[in-house]
Formats: sequence, C-alpha cells, structure tokens
Amino acid sequence: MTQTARPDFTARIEQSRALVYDLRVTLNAERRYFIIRVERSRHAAFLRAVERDQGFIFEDFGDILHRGWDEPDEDLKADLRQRFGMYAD
Amino acid sequence: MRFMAETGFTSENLSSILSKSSKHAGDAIGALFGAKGDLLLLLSEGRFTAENLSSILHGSGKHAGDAIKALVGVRADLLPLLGQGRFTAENLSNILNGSGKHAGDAVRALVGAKDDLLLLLGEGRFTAENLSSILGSSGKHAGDAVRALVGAKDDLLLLLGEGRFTAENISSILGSSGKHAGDAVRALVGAKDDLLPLLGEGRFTVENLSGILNRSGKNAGDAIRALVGAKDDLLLLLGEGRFTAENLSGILHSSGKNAGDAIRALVVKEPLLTAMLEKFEARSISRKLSGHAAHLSDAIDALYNSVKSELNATTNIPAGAAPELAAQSPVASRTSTERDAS
Repeated sequence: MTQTARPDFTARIEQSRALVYDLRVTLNAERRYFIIRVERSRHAAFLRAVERDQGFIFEDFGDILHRGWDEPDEDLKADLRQRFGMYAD
Repeated sequence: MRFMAETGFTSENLSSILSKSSKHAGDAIGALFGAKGDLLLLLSEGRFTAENLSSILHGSGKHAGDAIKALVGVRADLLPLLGQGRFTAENLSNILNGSGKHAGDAVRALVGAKDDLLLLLGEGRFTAENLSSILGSSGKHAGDAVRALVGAKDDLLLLLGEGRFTAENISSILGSSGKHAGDAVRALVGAKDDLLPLLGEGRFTVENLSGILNRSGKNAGDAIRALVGAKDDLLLLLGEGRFTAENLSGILHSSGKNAGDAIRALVVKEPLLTAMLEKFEARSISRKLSGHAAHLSDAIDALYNSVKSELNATTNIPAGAAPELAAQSPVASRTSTERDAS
C-alpha cells in the first residue's frame, strides 16, 4: 500500500506547490491562452515581465502545459481545478 | 392606423406581409385591407395570432388577399391538426412561413396529409416541433415538402424503430430540408447501413453524426452520401487516436453538404494538424476550425501559418501583447501577494 501511495502523495505535494498561471495575450490579433507552470526561482521575474509588457519568452520562466485560443474550455478548467486548485471560485 | 387597431397587426407584421410586393404595393395594400373581414374572422377564433398570420403571409405581397381567402377557406380543415399532442399554431405558421401566394396550396397539402402527419406524431415517434423543424421555411414548397415527408413515412418509422436514431437526431439532420425532405429522408434511410460502421465504441455517436449533418437542409441527401463516401478517411483519423470523435464532429459541425470536402481536407492536412497537436489542445483546435467546413483546407493552412513559429521554437510574446493573468493556482496567488507586500 505504502509503495503505491507514495507517488500519489508526492504528486499531490508537487501539485499543491506548483506556480501555475492562466495567462491571456493577444497574438496576431487573436486572443490566446497559455497555461504555464513557472519555476519558483523565476517567479518574480515572470511577474515583472507580465507587468511591464515589454515582450518575453515563456520558456525563460517555465513550461507551457496547455495552449489554445480564446480561453480554456470547461473540461480543461475542471482538470486544472482538480490538479492545481485553479478556478476555485 | 384603424386597420392596425382593429386587427392587432403591428407595422412590422404589415411590412413583413407586404415585403416583396414592390411595384404592386398599392394592389397589395388594397388586397390586405379588403381582406380585413377574413383576417378578423381568423383572429377572432383565437387559434392564430397576428404574429402567426404575418409569418404565414410573409412576402405574399399583391397576393395577400388571395392567400388570406385560401387560409380562411380551409381553416375548418386545419382544426384537426391543432390541439393537444398535435400541432400548435406556431408549428403550422413555422411550416407555412413565407408560403406567400402559395399559402392556399400549402395549407391544402397539410390538410390533405393530416392523417399521415398525425401517424408520425406520437409516443416514441416525432413531436410536432420535430416535424415543424424539418418542414420549417419550406415556403412556397410547403405542399411538396409535406407530401414528400409523408411519402417517406415508412422509411422514417423504420429508422426510429431500429432505435439507433431518435426523432431529435433525425429532425436535427433534416432540419429545414423543406421541399427536399423526401430526398433527404430517402438518402438517410438508404445510407443507414453505411453509417453503421461509423457508430460505436471509440467511434462516433449518433449525436456526433447529426451534429455534422445539422442544417444540411436541402442538401441533406448529398451530405449523407458525402459522409458515407468519406467514412474510411474518418475512421483513419479516429484510429490514429489524436482526435476524438467529439473533436472531429466539432470541426465538422454543421458542415452539411460540405462534409465530404471537409473530411478530405482533414485527411490531406493531417500532417499540419498533427504538428499543431504537439503543442495545442485538440479541443481548442477543433473549436477554432468549427464553422469553417466550407473552406476547411484554407482554414487549416491559415491556422497553421499563424502558429508555426511557435511549433519548433520558443514562444515569443512581443511587447504590447497585453498579457493578463486570468487565473492562478492558490500557491501562486499567495506568493505574488507576499511579493506585493514586501
């Protein structure tokens, strides 16, 4: 039991600590969404880059988990809610 | 003004009836006013509203008088179609909408087919809304449409009886097929054995198929044949497991008569789709391409070109892209609050 429970437990801890954002931008005149997991050491720099809007490269700050147009659909939001506690309200 | 006060018709109703009367506007207005007594008779019986009548007479123009007289003449025959478990005045006015100068023929066709229409209605069969949706806006062809639908009633009941298609599915596929309802029904029945391989576990649901064929209307026959003709290609796309049946039916939604071309475009452009799927959500791609079935090949090219710089490289967000944090995980929220406080 312990052996099978440990990965789940580790995953849950990892997920509860994940810095995940749903970031929306306008690219080529289209609204886009990026679900990005930000590295802890790059978090402050990421927030500054977003705030300044002077251009940046996503991969400099973390991994893109999902991307698409307009906004994530309800199924993806439900998945992210379960995995990372997003869209809780 | 007195005419409007007495009949309850609004200026919109009158303009709808008189539209298309063009150079005969004077005659049309005269005919309409001359038929006031007949109109009041129809309205006084409380079965039809001014809205219903205006919908039926839409575009009848200079023939408004004749159309009203025809309607009055057969009103007693219409009564068996109206009532509990049968048609509402709204259903009938939807079927007869725009029949204009042919309103008389259309009403007579409805009345003549009433026994067969009533046979199609009932538990486990069609609702009045289903039939009205299929026949809706057949306009001057309402008579032909009713006769075609009734002529295909055995085939329709066969489809329902086999339990694969519900009345809602069939009505969604045949919606607004109007005067082509007969051809569409026969195409659906004739293709049902070919449609079966598309249905089942890991393949399409009947709802997916009816979504693809939705609104194919008068082209429903062609659309069904196109879908069947492209079934091997569709199964190939599904078999590769990248797109689900929901994704594919989302892209092809309401492609109707363009279903065949759209499916072939999906197959030909499969490498571009696969490249995009490496980074983009299949559901999001499907949503983006939905509604472009008529030019799907071009739409896939355009979409690919707009993102190809992202596919094999880092994702560059240019200055002025107005980034906005729409949501965040709780720990991200806490961490940024701490940052703001410090």
